[in-house]
Parts: sequence; C-alpha cells; structure tokens
Amino acid sequence: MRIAVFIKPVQTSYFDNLRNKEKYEFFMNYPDKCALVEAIKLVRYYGGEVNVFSIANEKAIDVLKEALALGANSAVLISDPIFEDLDTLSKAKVAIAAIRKSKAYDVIMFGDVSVDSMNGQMGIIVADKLGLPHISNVVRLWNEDSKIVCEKRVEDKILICEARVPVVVVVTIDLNPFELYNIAYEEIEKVNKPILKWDAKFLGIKPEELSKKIKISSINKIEQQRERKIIYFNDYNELSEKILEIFEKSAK
Amino acid sequence: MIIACISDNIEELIKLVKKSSEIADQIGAEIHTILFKYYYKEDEIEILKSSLNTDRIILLSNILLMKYDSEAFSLALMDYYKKYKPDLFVFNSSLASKEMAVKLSSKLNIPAMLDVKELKILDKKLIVKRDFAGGVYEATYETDIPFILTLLDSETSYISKLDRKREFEEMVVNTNVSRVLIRQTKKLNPRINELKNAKVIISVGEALKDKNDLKYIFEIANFLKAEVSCTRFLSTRKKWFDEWIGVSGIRVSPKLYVGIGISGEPFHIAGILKSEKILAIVTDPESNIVNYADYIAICDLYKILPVLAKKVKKKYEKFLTES
Repeated sequence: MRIAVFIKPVQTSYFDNLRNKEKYEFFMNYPDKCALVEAIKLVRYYGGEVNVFSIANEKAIDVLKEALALGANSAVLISDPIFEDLDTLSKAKVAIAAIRKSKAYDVIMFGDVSVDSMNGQMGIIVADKLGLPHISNVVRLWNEDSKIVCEKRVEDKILICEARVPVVVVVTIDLNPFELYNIAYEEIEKVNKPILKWDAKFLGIKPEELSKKIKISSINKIEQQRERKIIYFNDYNELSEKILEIFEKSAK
Repeated sequence: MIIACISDNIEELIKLVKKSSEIADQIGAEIHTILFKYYYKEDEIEILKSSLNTDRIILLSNILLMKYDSEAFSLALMDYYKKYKPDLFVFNSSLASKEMAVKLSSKLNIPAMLDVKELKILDKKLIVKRDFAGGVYEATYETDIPFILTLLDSETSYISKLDRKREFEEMVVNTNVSRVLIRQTKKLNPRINELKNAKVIISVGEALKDKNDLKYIFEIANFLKAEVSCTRFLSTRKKWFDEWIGVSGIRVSPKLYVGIGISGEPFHIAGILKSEKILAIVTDPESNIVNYADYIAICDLYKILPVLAKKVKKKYEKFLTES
C-alpha cells in the first residue's frame, strides 16, 4: 500500500504550553500527525510505504525530519517563494502537482483541520480535482482487499463507509493517541535521511496559475476579562464550602 | 447582487435566511433559498414557501438528492450557479454543509471560508472574521466576491422590513453520487440544544480516570440543575458522552461553566469563552484552563469530589425539607 500524507507545519508563536516551544519555530499540525501515525501503522501491517509532503518554507524542515523519525519512508519539502500566502484552491493545485510527480498512491491522507488557520479544505479539494472518492471526519480506518473502510463521525451519527482505492482520507485527531508519538528533540536532530526539495519549476507550476484571493488583515488575541482568583483552603471541607458559594453566586 | 442560502437542515436554513437578510438589506441584494427535493419533506417545503422572506426559492430536483451526499449536492448546485451566478453562497456550518461548500468551491474555483463568525460587504469587498489558533485569536480576512462561506452562528434578532418577492421555481438538475458506500449508520444523541441553552454546565476532562467517577458529578449537577458534558477526548476516545464541548463540538455560553480535571486545549477553551464565569477545578496548576478561569481551585479531584457531592446533597436535602 502506498500512502501519501500531507503535513502542515504550524507556527508555535500562537500556542502556549507547547513542549520544547523554545527549540522550534514550527510543530506538526496535530490532525496531520494523526494521519501520519495511522499511515505508518497501516504500512507496518499491510506492507508498503509512506511518503510525506509539506508545502512550507525551509524553516519548517524539522517538521519533516520529525515525520521521518516517526517512520515515514520519504519526505518532500515543496517550497518556492511563489507558494507563500496562497489561498487554499491554489495550495491544492500545488499538492496535486506533487502527487502527479510521484508514483500512484492508494491512499492520500490529510488532517481535517489546520490548528492555526482552522481551515480544513485541502483534502476535499484535492480529491475533487483528482476525481477521487474522499472520506472525511475519519476516526478509524482499515484495509479490506482493495477497499479502504472508515468509521466516520458526524454531529449525530457514526457511519461506516468504504471506497475503492485510490482514495483520499481526511482524518480527525480522534483516530489515534497522536500525543504519545512524541520524538525527542535530539532524535529529530539525528535524522539523516535526505529530504527532497521540489520547487515551482520542478512541478511545472507558473505564478499566473496561482492566486492569493484571501488576505489576512489582522490576527488579534481575544482579550478575556477574567478574575483568575485562586481559591486558597486549609482542608477539603473549606474548599467545598467556597466552591458552593461560587455555585450560588454565579449560577443565579 | 445575489446571496444564495443553503443548509442541510430546515431550522438552520430559516435562521440563515434571516441572518442573510440583515446583510442583503444593507446592500440591496436579492436572497435565493436553495432546497433539495426529496431531501426536504414536502410539508417542510410548503412551510418554507409560505414563511421564508426570500426573493426566490429554488427547488433543485433529482432523485439522487434523496440522501445527503456531498458530491450529488454540490453538483446539483452547479446547475443553479450556471443560471443565476450568485455572488455569495452562504451555508450553515454543519460538517455536511462544510463538505458541500468546499466541494462547490473546488468545482467552481471560487474560494471558500468555513466557520465564519462575522461578515460585512463593503464596496464589493468581503470582510470576514473567524476564529484563529483554536479560537484564542480572531482573524480578519479580506476577499472579493464571488465567495463561498459557511456561517458559524446565524442567530439574529434582526427583522427585515422588506417584503421580498417569494417566487418559487423547481429546477431539474444533473448530478451524480460519490463512490463512497455507506455500510452502516449508528445514531448518536448529542445534547446540542440542552448544552447551548444551559445556565450551568459541569464539564469533565481527562484527569477523571473512571466513568464511575461521574456519579459525583451527576450528584452535584442534580443540585445545580446543571448539564454535564466533557472534553473531546472523553467523548470520542472513551465514549462517555455522545457530544463534547469545544469549537469542534458544541460552543456554550452558560452563566457558570465548571471545568473539572480539564487541561484546557485551545479548541476546548475557545468553545467556553462566552461563559459568564468559569470555575476551574484542576490538579495541575499548569493547566491551560487556569489562564481563562475566574475562579481556580487547585486540588486533588478525588478528595474534593466526594466531599463536594456530600455537601451539595446535604444542602439540597435541607432545601427540599424547608420548602
């Protein structure tokens, strides 16, 4: 089984409480990491290989090193100044060009949302443009003959869906405990597998084929006027009394 | 200018048309409401025809539209687009509608944006506000029309003074279904409305180790007339509840939100920011929820919960006896 996984490096600057935040400028988008972990499990079980792609600038190379350290067979950094700030339709165009440059895939995987831009369109657009079936909101998946079977969760139901390969699968963070697959900084630094670099010329993409139709005007932290009052207590009886007071005061 | 409203459910569609009229009235746009024949029941269509304040109701008709399928529905919308060329597609933000919106965006090569919180149209420019980085930030975007968006919350108190034309048209459309086969469907019972309307919510997180520990939570909730729910982890991985609180689940706005054993992932936090007061009861002082709480109790959950439940019960019984 040949699996392609698209990974988005996310800037650490918008996120507090990140492990090793000082060491990295980017981290692997969580749902994409879920997709990668699942892809690695699938090829360990069914055989095959996992190729990772990332449309990003060179500063994000550590994210691809992490993917290799996790077990991906190869990694491609798709980078070119003309790929900066593209809208999703154009980013999908770049992704499709990269898929077409590679050997045929059975499964192309994406995370369902990017934790920074909170956008989740790439997988569906890539599937649509390539004329492939897609299954999104996937929480479990397995292989049956030449079919991929997925458990998909939507608001009020769980669906078991199947599609013949090649197929695009868009996964959620519920797919596996991705947070357990952390690689130590030192291990990532030790990765010496080559990372391929593909640019617009290599992919045969011209600037006029790409668009930047959506511009970000501002990003502001939502200010919270919270008291942040710590409840001090001597014993749990006292604490429960104080919590009860809050219940009564705030819930009226 | 034409704004086209589309939804995968009737209640959301009614709200969406009302919300769109707020924008349409300001810029003198027409509102089209798109319905899918066979997917909407006949009586629902009749109700919408008589009650929606819209310029045109277009009923897209093809037997393949009986069941939701993103490929079938987005292809059906293509025929509508070819005829009317709307400037703005407005969908609700359910997972099904988001999928449909993105497919349509791909087919029409018109950019799309999901989960839009606010939008304005100024001189043919669209100004859109959305959550960013889990909703702890808010981003403002600028783009041109035509555009496709899904609207996160279409609640509005706006009442249009315009009496729109309410024309009706049935349009037979071409479509095709996707090659994804649904083998099995299991119904869930997420308590969306109960949680959205709750005054007090007690929500539990992954620091609670055993489902049996919920007995304390339910005892406390019973006294407070509170709804109980959880984080995504407990819902999707441990299956304790059919829904979860957060931007990827249900966004809530109670008077009091009590987070018990919740670490405070950004996607969860953003879903509770509209709470009037937040009480965090946590073991770990480094938990992110602490940064967003009004009251913070750092303690051993397994010590406080039995004591609190007992105290609440005592108080409740006393209250019942006195009343």
